[in-house]
Amino acid sequence: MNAADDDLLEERSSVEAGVWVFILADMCIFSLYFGVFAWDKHLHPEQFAQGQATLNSGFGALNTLVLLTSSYFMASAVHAARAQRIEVYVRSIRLAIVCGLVFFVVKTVEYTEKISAGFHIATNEFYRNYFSFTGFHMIHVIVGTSFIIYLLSSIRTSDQVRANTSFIEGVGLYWHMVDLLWVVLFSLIYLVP
Amino acid sequence: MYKTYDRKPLLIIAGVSMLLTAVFYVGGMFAISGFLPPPSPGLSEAEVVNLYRENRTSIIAGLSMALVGVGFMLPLCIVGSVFMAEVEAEDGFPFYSVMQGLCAVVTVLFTAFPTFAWMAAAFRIERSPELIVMMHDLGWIMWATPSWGFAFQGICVAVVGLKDKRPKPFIPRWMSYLALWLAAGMTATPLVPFYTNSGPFAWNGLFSFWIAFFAPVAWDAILFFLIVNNVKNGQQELVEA
Repeated sequence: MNAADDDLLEERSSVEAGVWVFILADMCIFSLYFGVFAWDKHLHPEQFAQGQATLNSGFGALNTLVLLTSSYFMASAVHAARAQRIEVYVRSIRLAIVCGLVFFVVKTVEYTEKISAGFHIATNEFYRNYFSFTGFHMIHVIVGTSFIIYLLSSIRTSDQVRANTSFIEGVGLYWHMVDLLWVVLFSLIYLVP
Repeated sequence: MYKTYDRKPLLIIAGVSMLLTAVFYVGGMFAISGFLPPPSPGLSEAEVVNLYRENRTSIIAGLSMALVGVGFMLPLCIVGSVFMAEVEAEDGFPFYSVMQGLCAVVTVLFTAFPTFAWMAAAFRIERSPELIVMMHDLGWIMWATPSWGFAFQGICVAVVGLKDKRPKPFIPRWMSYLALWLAAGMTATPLVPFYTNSGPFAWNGLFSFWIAFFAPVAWDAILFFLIVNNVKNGQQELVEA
């Protein structure tokens, strides 16, 4: 942790309470998804073991890396926005968007590979879970990336940034949640034996 | 700045509509027809036909009642649009209020159509079992799958709620965020047709029924009481002034 990060921690978050309510509610839904996955796995252990063996954890790991990186860029964008360093803010936002798009492309390649190998959402319990939950997560990535693209297109001058700091922070917070949920999904679906 | 008018008559319309929706829809669907909580999609052909043969009269009676209840959702939602338009009027054409009202029509229709399919299944009970099962499935898929009408309603309410910069907004901001969350939660319903037996996204499942049905109901009820409270306070201030 460097000095800049320490400054960041000392600043009070100006994100409004509603964003936290949304994030809490969304995480509750995802914890139910995780619970459903664990329960189905408990009921069909062999099917889940076979299903997991067909997944390419390289794709999952790559996407984890991509999202963690984008979270880093988003955090530095928020920090730069608070500090009114517009150039850094715009550059970080751009890089975060690139990461979001890379995640989308990797996921699409992965889905295409699975579907052309003959696995789809109705194949069995494992694949139903896999496609549903990673699919919902991808919708979150698409929504998040859209918000960040909006930041890039509409909130980019010094005045706009100053007037919308809490909005930028809200988007950042949402993006970290998307990242966090992926880390759990990745471990649960690809890694946990 | 904002026109002040007597909001009580609108609140009475909304309250009565909510009460009638609750009594007729919940009574008809849960108590009389027994259609809610939904029967499992995994029922066999014989079981489905039996369901209709044994409960034919109560099914038709319950569904007719539910149909009346569905109709009363409309005035409730339009009162919502009127309150939303107060906020939006400043910006010119009240797009989100109109959109919310139109989406309410969609929600109402998609809640009403399935009852016709089930009534048709019960209507000529001696007809071929395959046809009864088909109407039964059609009704449930129609009931559980379409979600965008309600999702758009939630998004419209949230957008207007977040735009409301009055010192005492009608909708607390966290309710707007919860409306967005409800809209997001509805993204799961298109999975219903993949769950032919049981499971969390089946039409009687955790996400497609228990959450997708009760979460919006709870949100609506809370919103109604918050608005009543706000209006009461607002009216008192008017009197004091």
